Amino acid sequence: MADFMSEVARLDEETLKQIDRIQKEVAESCEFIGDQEDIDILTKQYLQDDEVYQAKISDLKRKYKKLRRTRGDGNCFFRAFGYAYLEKQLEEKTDLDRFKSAVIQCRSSLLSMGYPSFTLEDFHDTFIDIVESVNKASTSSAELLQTFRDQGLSDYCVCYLRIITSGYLQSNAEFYSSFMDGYSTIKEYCSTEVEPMYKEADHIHISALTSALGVSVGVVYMDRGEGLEVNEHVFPEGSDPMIHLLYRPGHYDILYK
Amino acid sequence: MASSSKVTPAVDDNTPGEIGATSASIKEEIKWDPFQSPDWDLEKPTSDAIVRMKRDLHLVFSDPLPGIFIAPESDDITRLHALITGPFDTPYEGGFFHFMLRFPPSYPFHPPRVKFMTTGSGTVRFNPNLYRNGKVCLSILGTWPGPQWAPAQNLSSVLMSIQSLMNEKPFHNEPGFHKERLGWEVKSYNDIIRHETLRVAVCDVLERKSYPIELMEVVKLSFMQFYEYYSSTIKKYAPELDDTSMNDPFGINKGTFNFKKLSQRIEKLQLALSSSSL
Repeated sequence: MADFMSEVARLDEETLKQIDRIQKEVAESCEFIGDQEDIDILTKQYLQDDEVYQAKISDLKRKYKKLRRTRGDGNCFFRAFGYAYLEKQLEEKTDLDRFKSAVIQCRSSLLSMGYPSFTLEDFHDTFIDIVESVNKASTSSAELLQTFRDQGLSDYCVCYLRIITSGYLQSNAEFYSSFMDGYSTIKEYCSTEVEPMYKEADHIHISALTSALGVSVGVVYMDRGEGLEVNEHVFPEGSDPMIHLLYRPGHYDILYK
Repeated sequence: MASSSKVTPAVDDNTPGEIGATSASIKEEIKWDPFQSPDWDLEKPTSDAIVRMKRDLHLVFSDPLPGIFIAPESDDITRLHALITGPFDTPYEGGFFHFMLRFPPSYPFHPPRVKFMTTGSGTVRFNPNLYRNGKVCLSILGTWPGPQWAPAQNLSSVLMSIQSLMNEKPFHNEPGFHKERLGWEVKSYNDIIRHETLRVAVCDVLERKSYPIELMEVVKLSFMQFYEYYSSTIKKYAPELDDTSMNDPFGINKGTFNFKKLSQRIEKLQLALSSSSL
């Protein structure tokens, strides 16, 4: 048994190393947040005779015009969420005050859950600085893009959004615990699947983050599932999406109408 | 393994030839050793990373953890030494355990690397998770399966996690050993750890003064406070165990119990410390 578990530990290490290598390769090939591109570029990514995907891309083109690709490093949902929302608010500035108080509310709730204030403040302050910069008339979209392409700032945002997600899951443990297959507690789930960087986001993460911050997100699913149309799920259910993300298995990009 | 008298030895990367070592040496090892981190030497820590390291250090000083002391290296903010004293009511009680830590240039997005230094020069396996080569097996350090490092963690949480490895029944730390199989393993393992704690993590430390000077000060002060405990422990276990062989359920630690000898060493140290000649 000892050998078996140690073997598991070693395999785990192997996996981590492999992930590390892949991350480096991905990093060299793609910005954290890419430029806006035409949806057409997707057409070339799949084989011409791949009927399911080609049909779904045509459908996607009917519904959306542009997309922004994000780096596939496991943080893409959080990064795409943060960038897409703030980019939208850079134009509209209609929701920022509400958003800011929601973030501050999250911080209080995390502090009361026992998160050490000094690590939290660090992430919180960086994030709020960015939110406030979006509220200024002088901030350009190029500057916001630069912020999200700066590894330090960008990762601080991702990290804080992860902690907020984790905090929301823990304070709504009763509701979410039925979705945690294979984990004995919400805390364990969060420390394994939510808080560590590079862990991919699932329905649960999206549901929690959108609820915690009151930001409605439409996720357009493009996979091998049935039908020749793409389906959009809105989080929280029944709300009016402020931003749209494209989901392909294991990855999220940003969509524009 | 129904009738075997020893359970399977746990893997210890220190000794080639032990189970697991062969296959591990073929594969590229994951980096855990702060002293062997050429990948980190190439990269300078970002200014954000340095700010965070300072905050982490500040937190340990301003909000001290019971039984944990740190000494940052004066010329390199990324490196520090930690002293963890063995928690009460565990076989580690009264011991002084030294860890070397190094923050990554990308802190806090990756965990620090940690080396356990109190291994009797690589001869004592103090815990299923503390290898003789100094590797600390802990999921948040990326060296063990389970919850991984998250940037919300910090130096204090790392040190507390390490401290929690030193518990009342470390035998159970080995995966798959939640229960005793033969009925004697927990006591036998604890007896060994208790003896080796006094020998390696108390006597050797004070005689050789091998820890950084700031930590040695703490060690000397704490020694006097633990002196009563040392004496009573020796009195309690010497009659039963002295001159018997250590029976490590994992088959790693070897030797003969000799509390009488430890008693002499501790008396000598106590005298020297009382007359402040140490």
